[in-house]
Amino acid sequence: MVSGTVLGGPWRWLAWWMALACLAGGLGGRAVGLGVRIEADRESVEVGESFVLSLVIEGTQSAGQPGNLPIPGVRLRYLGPVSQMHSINGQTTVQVAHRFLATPEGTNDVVIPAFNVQLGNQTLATKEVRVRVVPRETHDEAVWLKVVVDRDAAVVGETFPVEVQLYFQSVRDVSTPRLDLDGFVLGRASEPRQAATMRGNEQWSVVTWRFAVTASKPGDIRVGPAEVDLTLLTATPGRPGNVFDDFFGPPRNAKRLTVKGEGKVLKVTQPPMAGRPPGYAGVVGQYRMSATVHPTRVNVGDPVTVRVSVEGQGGIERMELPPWPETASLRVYPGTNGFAPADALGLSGTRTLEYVVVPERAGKVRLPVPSLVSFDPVTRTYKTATAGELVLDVLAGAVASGETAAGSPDATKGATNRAAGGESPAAAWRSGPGFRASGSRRWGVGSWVGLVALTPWVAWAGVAAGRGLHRRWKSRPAPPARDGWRRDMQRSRARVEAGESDLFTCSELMRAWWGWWLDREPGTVTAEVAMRELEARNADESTRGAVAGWFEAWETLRYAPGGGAVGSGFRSETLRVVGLLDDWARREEEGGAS
Amino acid sequence: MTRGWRHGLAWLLAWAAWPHVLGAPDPMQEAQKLFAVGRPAEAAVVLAKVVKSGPVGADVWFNLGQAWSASGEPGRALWAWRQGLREAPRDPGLRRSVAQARQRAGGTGGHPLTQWLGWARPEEWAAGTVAASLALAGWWVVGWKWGGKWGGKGLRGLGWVAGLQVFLAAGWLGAVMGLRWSPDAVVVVREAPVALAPVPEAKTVRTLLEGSEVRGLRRHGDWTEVEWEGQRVGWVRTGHLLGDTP
Repeated sequence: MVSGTVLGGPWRWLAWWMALACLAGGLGGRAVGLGVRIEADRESVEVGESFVLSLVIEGTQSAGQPGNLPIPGVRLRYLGPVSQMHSINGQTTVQVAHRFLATPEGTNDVVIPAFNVQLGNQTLATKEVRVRVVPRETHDEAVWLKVVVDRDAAVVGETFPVEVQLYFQSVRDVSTPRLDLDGFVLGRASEPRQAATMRGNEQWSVVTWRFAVTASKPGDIRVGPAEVDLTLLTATPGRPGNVFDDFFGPPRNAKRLTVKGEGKVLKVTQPPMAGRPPGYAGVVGQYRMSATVHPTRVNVGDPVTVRVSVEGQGGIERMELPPWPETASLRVYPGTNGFAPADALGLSGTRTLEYVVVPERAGKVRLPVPSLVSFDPVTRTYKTATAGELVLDVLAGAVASGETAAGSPDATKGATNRAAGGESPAAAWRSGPGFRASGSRRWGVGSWVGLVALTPWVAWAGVAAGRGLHRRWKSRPAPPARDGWRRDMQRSRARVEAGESDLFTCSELMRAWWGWWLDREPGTVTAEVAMRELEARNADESTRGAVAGWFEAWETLRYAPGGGAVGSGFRSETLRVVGLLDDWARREEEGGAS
Repeated sequence: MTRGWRHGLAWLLAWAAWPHVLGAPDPMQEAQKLFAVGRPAEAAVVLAKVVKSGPVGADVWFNLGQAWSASGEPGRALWAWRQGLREAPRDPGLRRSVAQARQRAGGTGGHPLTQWLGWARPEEWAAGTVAASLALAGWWVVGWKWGGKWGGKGLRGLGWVAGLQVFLAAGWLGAVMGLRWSPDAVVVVREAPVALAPVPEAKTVRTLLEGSEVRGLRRHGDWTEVEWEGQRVGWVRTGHLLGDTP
């Protein structure tokens, strides 16, 4: 059902929509998910041009032909329905679009107001649609380009749409337009959209590119010009009698060229200084602001998420909120930002800014979400959007067991009251002893502890090694006895040669020599033993005589009075006999070896 | 001595003795009162003086951390609580406060050795090590003297004592090395820029948030090269840190 307050003749709308509702009556249970909207295939048309207006009904394909839409100042002609079916991820949607050819009859913009539609048992609403009607331009070219701007003036920071329209009848290989935007910042661009239009009695195609641009500096600044590269196809005279020309049509000439469209000069001004509130950061548009926080009851130090939503029109996609005011009660960290555009250019929509806020004090903490100061280019006034009050209930989560709140109960109450303003803590305090009893600090990190720890092991290793060495020393093999007797002989000989000797020393020298030679105990050597050895080895006579004489002399002297003292004569004789024995022994060894 | 000199001397003595007559205010009580009436920053100043005047117990460090935390200085609070943990590593309140502060700053704490062995102070490990070493040495002497040869009755139980001594000594060594490899300073400004070189015009490679625990590697003028989360990150203004920088 249509509210015809603007259109006039509400009874006619009522009749038309009742008919439509009857046509949609076959929907039955399929009425769930219905939707309806009005679409125009062009945003702006020249006076006398036509455009296609569609009434799109989603959720059904069985809605029949509606009557004409009695839009004042517009001539409508019903073109027929177009049914579509989409299947995305297994979900199938259907719709039917009833298309009208609309031709504005005057120079005023076409306004199709919002109206309600009754489909089955549901009432659905359309949104207002506007189509701008611009003055007609006269063109004789086969193709031309036009830059359409819907305003003559703007303020710095204002974002608005710019259209580039290409009129043609037969072209190919069309490039994306190049738009000179010195003094503006280019924003989003929509997909090119092709439509058909009637200019007089000729049908033309129009491709429209739309861009969002933002004025960045004041002055008389031109939007444009724009250029498009394309290949123009022109018809040639047909060749009579050619079957191909008869069947496919005459051949066409292709010409590559660049089409240029002049832009439009805008008067860009700065927002007025008069009435500019503090905190204005150049945001232009119309905005509303809201904020939520979750959770609202946390411990000190626990993070919460504050989600600020800014909804409105303007350069909302690039809009940033001012920083949060510094406060000791909070820490604020920027989170993820998002933008949900309501149109293809992002000129309107909802920008979502998330913050992670960590309360650092207990109590009722108010969240100072920054306000957004903007300049409204429509009313030419400054406006301040605020998010409303957000309050956190912060608990003193860091309080440990056994710890008490500071001060007396009254003091605690006072602190809690102050904490409600976000200014005072309600944390724990300990009443333990102040100074530590032990004066020295960090004694446990000295290297002496390691030395103490190693000492038992080093001592054990030392003792074990000593014991092992001792055992090894004691169990070593004994040296040959001959070596010892030879050492005894050399020692006794040194004493005899030095004159310090007595009879015993001379005897010890002689017996040690024989002990060494015979490898037997020197004490067991007698004259018989020595002589038997000499005889067995056929010693020369002089040696045998000297040895026998020495033993006789020794026997004589041993029992002579004088206590064993001997004169130099016996000592010399002893040394001479030992020398003879050495020579004999050397000869014996050399002979044995040879 | 003239009368004026006598009067002057008397006034001087009275001025010097006045605090003792009245009784000097206990800084702990003074800080507690300031904290209770919602002046935590002033309480922190009083406690900071107490801390500087000599070795203090874990409770003082805890209170200092609370005061700094309530004053909106979480970095200094973390440092104070860390100092308290050195005194009382098994204190649940301090452990919880440090854990929360680290979580807030996005840090992971010290070296893993300090986390594994952090339930005892190095002094406690050292005391146990020394005691076990003495017991081990005494056991050996006794067993050697009266227990006959190795493995005799006098050395029964020696293995247990030796094992305990090795465990305690290893724990002490781990605790000491963990302390040596752990962060020894805390960032005490909201954001501390980290530069590539210790000069003002050096490129800033990152920023460290307040409460980040770093280990100072070396010093150059007003700059300290720091290691954060086990990685050498760059140079930080020494004034942005609180702790035992080199």
